[in-house]
Amino acid sequence: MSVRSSSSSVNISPEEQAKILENSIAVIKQQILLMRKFLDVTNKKTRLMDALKHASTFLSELRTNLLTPKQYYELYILVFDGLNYLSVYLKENHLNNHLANLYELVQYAGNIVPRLYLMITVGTVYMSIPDAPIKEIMKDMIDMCRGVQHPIRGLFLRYYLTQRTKDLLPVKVTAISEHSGKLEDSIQFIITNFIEMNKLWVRLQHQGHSSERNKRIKERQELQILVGSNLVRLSQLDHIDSLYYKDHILPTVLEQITQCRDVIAQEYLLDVIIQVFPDDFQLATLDDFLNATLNLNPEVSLKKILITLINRLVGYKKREEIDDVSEKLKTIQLNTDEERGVDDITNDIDLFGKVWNYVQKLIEQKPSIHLEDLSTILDALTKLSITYYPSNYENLSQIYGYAIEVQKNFETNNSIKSKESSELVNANWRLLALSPIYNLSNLLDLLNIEHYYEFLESQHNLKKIVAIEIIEKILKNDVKITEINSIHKMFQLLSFIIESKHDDNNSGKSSAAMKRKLNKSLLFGNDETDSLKSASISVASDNHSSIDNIETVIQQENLAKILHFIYNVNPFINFELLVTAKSYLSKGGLKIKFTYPTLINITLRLIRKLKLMKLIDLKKNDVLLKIKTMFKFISSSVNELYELHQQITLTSINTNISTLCLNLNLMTAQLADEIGLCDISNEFFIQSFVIYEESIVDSRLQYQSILSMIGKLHQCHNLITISPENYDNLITKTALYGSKLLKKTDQCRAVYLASHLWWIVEENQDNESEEEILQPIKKDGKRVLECLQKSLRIADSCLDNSVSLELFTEILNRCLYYFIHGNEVITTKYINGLIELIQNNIKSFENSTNENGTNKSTGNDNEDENDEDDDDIEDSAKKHFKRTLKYIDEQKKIDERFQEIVY
Amino acid sequence: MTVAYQIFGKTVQPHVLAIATLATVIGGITVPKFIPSSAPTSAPAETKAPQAAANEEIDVEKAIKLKVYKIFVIAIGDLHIPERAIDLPHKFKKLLTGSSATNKIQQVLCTGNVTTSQSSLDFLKSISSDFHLVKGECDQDTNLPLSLILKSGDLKIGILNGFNVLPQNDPISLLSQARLMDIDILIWGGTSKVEAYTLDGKFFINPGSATGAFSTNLPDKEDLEIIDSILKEKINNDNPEDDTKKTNSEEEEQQQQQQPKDEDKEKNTEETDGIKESNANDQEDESQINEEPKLDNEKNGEQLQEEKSVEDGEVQNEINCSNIEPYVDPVPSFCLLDVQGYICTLYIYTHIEGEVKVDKVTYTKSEDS
Repeated sequence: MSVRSSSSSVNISPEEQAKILENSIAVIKQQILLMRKFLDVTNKKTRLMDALKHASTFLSELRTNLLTPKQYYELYILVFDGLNYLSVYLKENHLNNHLANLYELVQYAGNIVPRLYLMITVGTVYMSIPDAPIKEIMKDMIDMCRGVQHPIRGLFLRYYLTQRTKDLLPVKVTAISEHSGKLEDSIQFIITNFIEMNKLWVRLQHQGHSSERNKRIKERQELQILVGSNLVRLSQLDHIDSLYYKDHILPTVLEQITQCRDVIAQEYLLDVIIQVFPDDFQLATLDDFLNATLNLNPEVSLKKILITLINRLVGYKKREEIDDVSEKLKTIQLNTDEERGVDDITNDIDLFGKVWNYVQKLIEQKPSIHLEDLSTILDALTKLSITYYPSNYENLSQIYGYAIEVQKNFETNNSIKSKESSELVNANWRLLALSPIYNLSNLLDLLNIEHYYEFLESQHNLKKIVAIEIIEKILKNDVKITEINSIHKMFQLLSFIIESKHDDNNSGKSSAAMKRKLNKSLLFGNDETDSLKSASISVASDNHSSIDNIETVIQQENLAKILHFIYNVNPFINFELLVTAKSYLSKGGLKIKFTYPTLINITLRLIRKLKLMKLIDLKKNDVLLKIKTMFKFISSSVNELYELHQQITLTSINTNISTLCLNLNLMTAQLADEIGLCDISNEFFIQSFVIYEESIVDSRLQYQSILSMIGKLHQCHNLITISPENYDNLITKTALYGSKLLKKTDQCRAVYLASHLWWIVEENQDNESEEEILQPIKKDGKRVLECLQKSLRIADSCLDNSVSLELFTEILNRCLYYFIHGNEVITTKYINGLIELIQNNIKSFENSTNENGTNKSTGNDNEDENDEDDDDIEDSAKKHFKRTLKYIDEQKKIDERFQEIVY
Repeated sequence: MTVAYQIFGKTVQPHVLAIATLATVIGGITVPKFIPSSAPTSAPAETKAPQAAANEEIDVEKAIKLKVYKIFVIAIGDLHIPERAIDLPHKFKKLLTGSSATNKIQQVLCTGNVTTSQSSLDFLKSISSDFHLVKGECDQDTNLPLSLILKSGDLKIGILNGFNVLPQNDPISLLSQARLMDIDILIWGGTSKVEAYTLDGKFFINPGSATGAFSTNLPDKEDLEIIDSILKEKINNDNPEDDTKKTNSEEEEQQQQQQPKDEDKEKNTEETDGIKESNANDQEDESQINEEPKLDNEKNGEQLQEEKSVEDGEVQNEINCSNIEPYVDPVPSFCLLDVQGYICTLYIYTHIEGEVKVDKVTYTKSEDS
């Protein structure tokens, strides 16, 4: 008895507790063994009384109050097993031992804890017997349990009661006999037990020393499931409809919860209610539930409860949709009534309005509500609205309108706007801003939310995050943007990524500095122009470095991809959409270098599509006008890009943009030729030539640009036939560019390649003979020869013999090309001459190297190396020549014209 | 002139006959596994047999060696992301990133036109660390080489973007380029059109565009024919009295049937457009209009109305390109080269109507070359 003195429990150490637990476990195990021995059926003298005595002994171990709830639970588990054995025995042998008598008998046990455990054990066995006075037993047990008022002991005892009676409570709506009890009794029984347990649980908090408050909280959290088990049991009862729940169960439960004024209890139990009771119950009792929450302890986190509730409702809708589909497939007639009932509920109740009003009340009641909580609640509300009212954007507008208001209040309240606080705000609003992007099934609905853009407007970081998410969502879900309106709104939302001005404040500052200098220079004359230039350079470099970092590059690449999602089946309308998009993209400053190329390519593709649809009829003025508008659009876009290049080249040698513009012009020229708009094609070629002359400086790029020009001009068949003068102009110019290249090798190659521009044949299949025939488009053998002669001269003028040799061989190959293609100007005589020239060159070269070889001993090491290098090039050139000769030999077998080539 | 043709016809025909353009080979076999199961080693042994019948031991050794040096090479290019395409087809990505692929692919050869997209460049590099890239016409990086020569097994492979071989895509100019580079296989690109053929003992491969990127070059005749037939069929559908079935081949009809959804959709929009149009004209079918309260249709209608006021023709209002949409762009494709000694087996992967199809071509380097 001294053990139970309450004062000792305070000063006990964990080691001592462990020892006590060990002892108790040993005792219980031993006593259970003894009890089982007396109950053994094979043992003829089963002595129930002795067994009960041992049971009472091990139950006495539960009288301790020295253990933590966890340790106590360990004992409880052992005891439960032992008593289970006992109850099985009683049930099997109840004819020998009259249970009613036994029920009376166990009440004589000395201590209250063993007495009540035994009573419940016997009582529940009694309940399982047919015709037992269930109602009375229930009432008696629940009343007797009041005898234990120690929180932990009481909680476990009542938990034992719940566990034992679990499957024995009457579930019939109407009682069979007076004593058998009915569903209502069961509900009453569970609720009473719940209330008592909750009281015990709450009381635990107020026991012991105040310094152990945190320890108590932890202990209570360990015990919470015992209390919650009652609500779980309640939810498992069948034949309860939402009306009964609303009228009889929930009010009592809620009353207990609100009255206990305990934070832990309120938070936990409300959570359990939301989790365990069916979806439609939640819907039906929404008002009651919400109202009850307004009267809770002010410290309770209503945010948590509300969000759990909303998630539950959202989940309900989603589950129902899935069920709808599967059920409709299976049994339609069976569920019609129920479904209608559910639909009625969801349709009748203005769910959003209710929750919205509740939130308003909540804020009224707690004006100091934390911003973070508020934004989370609003986030949950958007989810609710999107799930239940997918097409009602007013709700969402309302939410964002309210959010804007809160934002303003927040800003005025926190007049000291440090950077951290604004970051905190951003973090809080972020979820709310992203919620519709994640939850809307059709992303474009986002554009219908009225205050959404306004809401983002004030916060740049948020805008950026939202823009990135929108782009990703479009890319992922393949969202097509088909209306002008959507484009306006969408690109407004994306404006943060599109526009460059938000990027860094530095450029803004330096541009301000530049303005100041500009003013100065205006005042003091031209002396300051140099500094002005340097200022503008620094602006450009700032901008440039900021747009070339990886993050921006990836963002812009994705933005460019978005342009592909602008689509309409009608290319003309599609073009209108692109024009609208461009009006936004043009604000990007330097960033247009990422997006414009895509815009132009898409426009070109639209033109191709019109061509394929055979909609381009150049005789129709209106069509012509429209097509021309498209080309003008491209032209102005390229020009904008090109202007950019002039800005950039101030600071860096980056001529990327000029080659880009040149290529874009060439591509457009090619397509314009394809649809027969020769003037436009000519114009674009000229534009690319202008760019070439003005700003392609790098010799490698010059050479490559000329190759591109030749390649494109070579394919412009309409231009050749319809406006030959223009074409001749263009190709002469190209050849001229080629001859002016810096390096001899480049010159030579560009010139012999340009020769192709005067010799263009098209392969066509002859319909009758099915043979490939060649249709000449341009045949000017003389000019071809001139080009080849010129390139020969250039090759000859190379100082390095091995290089000349290689170039000669390449020209020989070019000649063979023309020979095969039937160019009469390239005769066998010419080819033979060329071969002879090369052979002579090789001979003289060999002689000179031999001479070098003889001098080798006297030459120094460096020369030796040079020689070897020369040898290599010479070697490869010779090999190339040999391969060419071999090719000629092979051709002799199949083409008799080759027979005349001799060497 | 005619003489020239005849001469030309005679001389060039041998080459032309050798050309097997595979771009239009639609009926291929779909191979579920990406990497073909290891080819029988007997193949190289057989080709070697006549050459060195006297010394069989060496043959066996060689065969073993050949098996060891079996090399898988990916040829890919002309992605044009983001300018002309959004991404590779999902199924291509899956093929190229699957474990069977990344373990076995030793080399990736890229024909260029990829560098404007960092992400796709990273993707290609992730397939194999042995990644080679040549400069394409649209690539801005001047440090990239214009052409590369690599050795794979006993074959020399050259790679370049087509823009620097003129005239572009001309078999004979490509042949002379291959002669210059002294290579057995030439991989070129720039046209978005997949091709593979043997000419004068050399193998020419154009892996096409892995994204099916649009090209400003003239479209293929075959594609044009398909589109023409679709347009014709549409006209037939529009005039049901014209019951006489036109000369559409069966294949094209099948293609039509394979896209019933698209067609339906487009019919719907067509109808609604039509309604709007009549609304703008004479306001007759008001009951029908009320059945179409959708916002976007109305917008379209407005748009159409505007256009109408600009021009008097009625054609523009009915324009609908969704029918031909799948044929506007080239077919996405790339190639896998399985190099074993003197033999290169080429697998051409094409993405047609959502399915990946595989065609196989084998090239053996002739002994004398």
